[in-house]
Amino acid sequence: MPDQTTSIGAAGAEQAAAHPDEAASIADLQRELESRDEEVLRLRDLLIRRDAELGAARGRLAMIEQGSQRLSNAATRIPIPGATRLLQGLIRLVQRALR
Amino acid sequence: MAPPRFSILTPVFETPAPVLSAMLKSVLRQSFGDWELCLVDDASRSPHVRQQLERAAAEDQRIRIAFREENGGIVAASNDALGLASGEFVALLDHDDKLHSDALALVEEAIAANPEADYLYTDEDKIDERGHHVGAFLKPDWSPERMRTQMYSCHLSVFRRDLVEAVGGFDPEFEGSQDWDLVLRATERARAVVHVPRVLYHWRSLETSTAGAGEEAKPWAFEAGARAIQAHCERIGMQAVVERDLSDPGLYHLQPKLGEEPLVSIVIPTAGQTREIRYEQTTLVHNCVRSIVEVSTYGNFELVVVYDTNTPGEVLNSLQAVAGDRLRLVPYDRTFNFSAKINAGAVRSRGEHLLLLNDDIEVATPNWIERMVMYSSLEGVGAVGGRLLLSDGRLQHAGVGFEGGLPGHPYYGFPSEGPGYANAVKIARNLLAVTGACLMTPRSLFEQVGGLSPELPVNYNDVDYCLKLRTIDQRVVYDPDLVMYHFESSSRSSEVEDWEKDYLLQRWQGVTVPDPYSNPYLREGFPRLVSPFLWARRRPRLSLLRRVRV
Repeated sequence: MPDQTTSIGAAGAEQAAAHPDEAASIADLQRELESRDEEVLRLRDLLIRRDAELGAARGRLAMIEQGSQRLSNAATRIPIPGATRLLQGLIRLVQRALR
Repeated sequence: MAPPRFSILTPVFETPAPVLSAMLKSVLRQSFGDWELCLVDDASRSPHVRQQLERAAAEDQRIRIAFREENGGIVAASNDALGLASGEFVALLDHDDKLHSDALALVEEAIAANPEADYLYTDEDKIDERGHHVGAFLKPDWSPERMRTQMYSCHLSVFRRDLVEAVGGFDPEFEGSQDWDLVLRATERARAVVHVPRVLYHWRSLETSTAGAGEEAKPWAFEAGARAIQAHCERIGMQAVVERDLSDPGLYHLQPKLGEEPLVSIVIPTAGQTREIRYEQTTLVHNCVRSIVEVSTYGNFELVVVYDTNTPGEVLNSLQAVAGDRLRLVPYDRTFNFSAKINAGAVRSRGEHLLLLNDDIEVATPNWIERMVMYSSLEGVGAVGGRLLLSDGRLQHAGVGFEGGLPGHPYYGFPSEGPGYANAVKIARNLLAVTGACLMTPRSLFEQVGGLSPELPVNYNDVDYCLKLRTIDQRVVYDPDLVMYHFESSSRSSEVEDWEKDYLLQRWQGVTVPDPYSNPYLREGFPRLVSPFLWARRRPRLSLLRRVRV
């Protein structure tokens, strides 16, 4: 984007010299382009920040998922009839709630 | 050889009667019989303390007691207890804690298997106010770098008595962290340090104990900890300044304070690829080199970029524009082989230290090179790596762990600030390997082990390199304070071929199974939930005990 602005800016300067009446509208166009560039950068920064927030949430989710997986693995080793199924059912409910 | 006698050193001060009684019982119930308990009362005012100690000594001749006339603090009382000791080994037991009934028996087995053991430590847990065992700390084998950022060996600690006396016993300058200071001084001289991977010590979590209340209970102890590490760094010639962790009083960080800046050669293999990073098309190697040049505070480095010959000319020109005289371009015209590219770059470089860097890395820590040189300059350190983050800030790498002989990244995808098990992500520690995406190694060692193995062109060449370093008694260090972004697997498939796994297993299974920097009761960086049952029922196999040369 900055390259585009620069080239239009250079062309604009030449045109302005040749046709002074058009100088004002070219300057307006340049300002418009600059403000759009700024808006693009602002939106990009916003997206990056959102990505970081999303990353933090995904990180926490990964921790919780690993924890529930460990519980699930342990449940299969508990030699109490019915307890495993009960625990696994609870874990499944937690996992579903997380999704 | 006859089994050694253990002298258990226990300073006593105003211990509640039931707690003192439980401690005494835990010693009397030891399955190994040749011990003596050296109790020194540090001028307790409560009459029950003297009565209990005198009764215990009268009932069992192995209990030796002394009473200080004036309160002198834990160091003075510990040194008095050391003066009473006659055993070949001394074990430290706090007055409010308990030993597992097999504690001395298992330590004795470990000594028998490792006759040069001068310092031994075991795993531990805590006893909460309801008497429940909680918070088991399942530790790695001897990890000197971890010992400089966390007092991880802690309880139960057993020292050869000769060594403790040779280093001057407990130092009053480090009151509160005198045990940490003693471990540091003793291990500087120890022939071998042995870890017994069993919970053999139960640390009572009282409001007045460090285990229960943290810094509020003994604020001076944490300051003393910082001073003990600083003194240790000075003794071993480590160019570092100790800082306390802002959020966790028991953790410390080392900041580099280098006397000189040796030349570092940063070797970056590239094919000049472009991809979208943070919503912008980016030439990876350009972004990498730009971040190094813009962010780094280290002055003396060169950039050795090993490029495929079909790399666009404008990419190379852009590197020249960013890096100037620091840049050295090395063409590579053969089939892709990461190891061969790194080796080619190393041959064309001049630095005392080589820094292997992927082109999809972006530097975030200004003093990252200083940090790596701080460790890489240390005798016995073969490789250093850091904390790598994905572009959204999640953890990509905090060291390489092994499960069944195959490497993985514990805590992958977790929050970057997540501490991991026992603060594993937040503290410096030793591992079998770190990722080659960012790895510093002394050139002399790189040459000694023959660089990276070209037989591994894509995967595991970094792990293989670190394991080769271990065969020449070199440690690998993870530094959590060195943070970088790694836009991983931008260029090549991350799929690992079966033959690569077979190669690694065949070559290194003897070293990586079990991973000495994990614990038999940890899985993927966290405690296996069945382990409490195992602690209660089983004894560890002796093959789990490893001897570490120091």
